[in-house]
Amino acid sequence: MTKVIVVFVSTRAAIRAERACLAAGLTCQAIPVPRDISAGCGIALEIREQDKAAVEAIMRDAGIPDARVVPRPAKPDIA
Amino acid sequence: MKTVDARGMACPKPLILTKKALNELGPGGRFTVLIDNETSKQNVERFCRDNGVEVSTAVEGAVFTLSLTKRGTGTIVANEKAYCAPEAPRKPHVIVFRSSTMGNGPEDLGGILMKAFVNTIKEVSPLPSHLVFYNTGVHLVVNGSPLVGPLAELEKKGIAVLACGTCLDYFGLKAKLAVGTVSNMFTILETLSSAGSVIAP
Repeated sequence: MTKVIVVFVSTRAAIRAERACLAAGLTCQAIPVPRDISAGCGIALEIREQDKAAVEAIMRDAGIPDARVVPRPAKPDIA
Repeated sequence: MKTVDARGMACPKPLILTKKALNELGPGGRFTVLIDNETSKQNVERFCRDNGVEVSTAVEGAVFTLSLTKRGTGTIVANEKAYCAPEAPRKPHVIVFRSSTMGNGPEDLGGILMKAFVNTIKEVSPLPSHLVFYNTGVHLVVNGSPLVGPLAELEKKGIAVLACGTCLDYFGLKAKLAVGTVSNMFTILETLSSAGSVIAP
């Protein structure tokens, strides 16, 4: 199953977004923002690609318009 | 980006070249190292980790590509040749979940940090041998916890998940245990005391 991630402008937005996604019954996992995207600390949400439109609608309804859905960066092989 | 080509070289050559290149860089500087033998690859990785250098490794055929990012500010003085000797095998670590949050503070912040923490365990090598949940930490392993799925995945990888029975009982959650096994003080103390190290988020 292809996963995409949602990144936010603030930690508080991430917390509200996670709550809204779980309340809507969507599969959603809090993860650290991948290193390729930012070296700073941050929480992102990992969602199923097929839920992208639903999540975007939830973000609009929850007043989190700055949330961005981005592809999951390819992981280097863990050797 | 600079590349150090250490293919065809045996230890300590790749270590010497890596250290030299690192010490020519400022903080945040990056370069890659190419290595074609497992021993040198492990030694360079260990040298980097011990000296504040972030390293991620990709393999293609017989060649390892190590991507290095210098995090520290100072010159690395560690003796790189000492890293030629193989590392003594380490006992695996154990992670204890003493509460349902990561750190103390606002519940919502600690809650989402804990979820991100658990979802990162599988990404970091080596994996722990056990995950131990007690006090309010047991809320993470019962029905309704969004971490049941990710924790079950870790259990499938061979990581033992232990939940404090006294705690489950206290919260009336014994019948709701969704991942891991019910454990007691003896097993928990034995697990912690035989761990290579204990991590408590």
